[in-house]
Amino acid sequence: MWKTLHSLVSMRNFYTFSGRLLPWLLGLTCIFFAIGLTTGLVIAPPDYQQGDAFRIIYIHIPSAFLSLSLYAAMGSMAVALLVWRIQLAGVLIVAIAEAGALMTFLALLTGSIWGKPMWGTWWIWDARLTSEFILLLMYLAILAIKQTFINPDQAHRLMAIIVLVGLIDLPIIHYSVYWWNTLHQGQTLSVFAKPKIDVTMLYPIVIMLFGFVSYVAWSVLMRARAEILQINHRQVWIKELYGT
Amino acid sequence: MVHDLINWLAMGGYGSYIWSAYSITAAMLVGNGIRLYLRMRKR
Repeated sequence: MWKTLHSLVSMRNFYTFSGRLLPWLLGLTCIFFAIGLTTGLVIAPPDYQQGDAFRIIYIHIPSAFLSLSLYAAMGSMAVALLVWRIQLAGVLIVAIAEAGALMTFLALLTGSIWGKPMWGTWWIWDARLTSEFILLLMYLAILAIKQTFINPDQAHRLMAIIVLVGLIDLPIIHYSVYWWNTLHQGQTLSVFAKPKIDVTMLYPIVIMLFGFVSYVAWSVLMRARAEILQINHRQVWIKELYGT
Repeated sequence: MVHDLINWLAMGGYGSYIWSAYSITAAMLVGNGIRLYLRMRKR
């Protein structure tokens, strides 16, 4: 069983399979962004309180959602690496960390730009913003570890341990708006409850979310492939693939 | 039509905030994509 599992998650199989997915993911990204931006910036009506300023939601929510989801994905990769010694999981931690750092930075940036006209301030040390900022620092720390170690196995293992330590920040970020008095509003979308936003404003959020997910998937696969090439550059299958 | 376009770009007075957020996001996503593509080519 372990042999089957390890063959499924071999770097060679992943490299081949991911190469086929890349153009589709890029195409989906372009389509979703085209539709999402048109519906969000042109068709959706202005908000009765915030006017057109609310339209930053179409980049803020997807990036914020992904900043948390990607860290959770890194957590599962960390378990796969440390418990089952799946080497591909270490590669994916590196790839996901870069994408996650980008999404977290965009969430903070777009939130800040949105906050200035709405709250009157670019930044405030409330629970949601502070815990999200700590998440960004976690991502940067994980990436710094990658740069520090020459041996990729050592780097991946230490990154995995740091990822597991930082997992506690995810529920803090998610529940911060309920546990503390925060300036940041509560959840707009929930799996279990009716959305608190009109459907004409909701559809572009969902479409843009799909667009961001496609983009992040493309980005993660590209970075993972580069990492695989770096680690396995002496392997015969790489030399056969690139005729070197 | 030009008047409608200018009104749309103005975004009810919030245009500078909205367009700076979108343009920085676009620049970062495209820049990241180019970085990843060049990294693969280098390998």
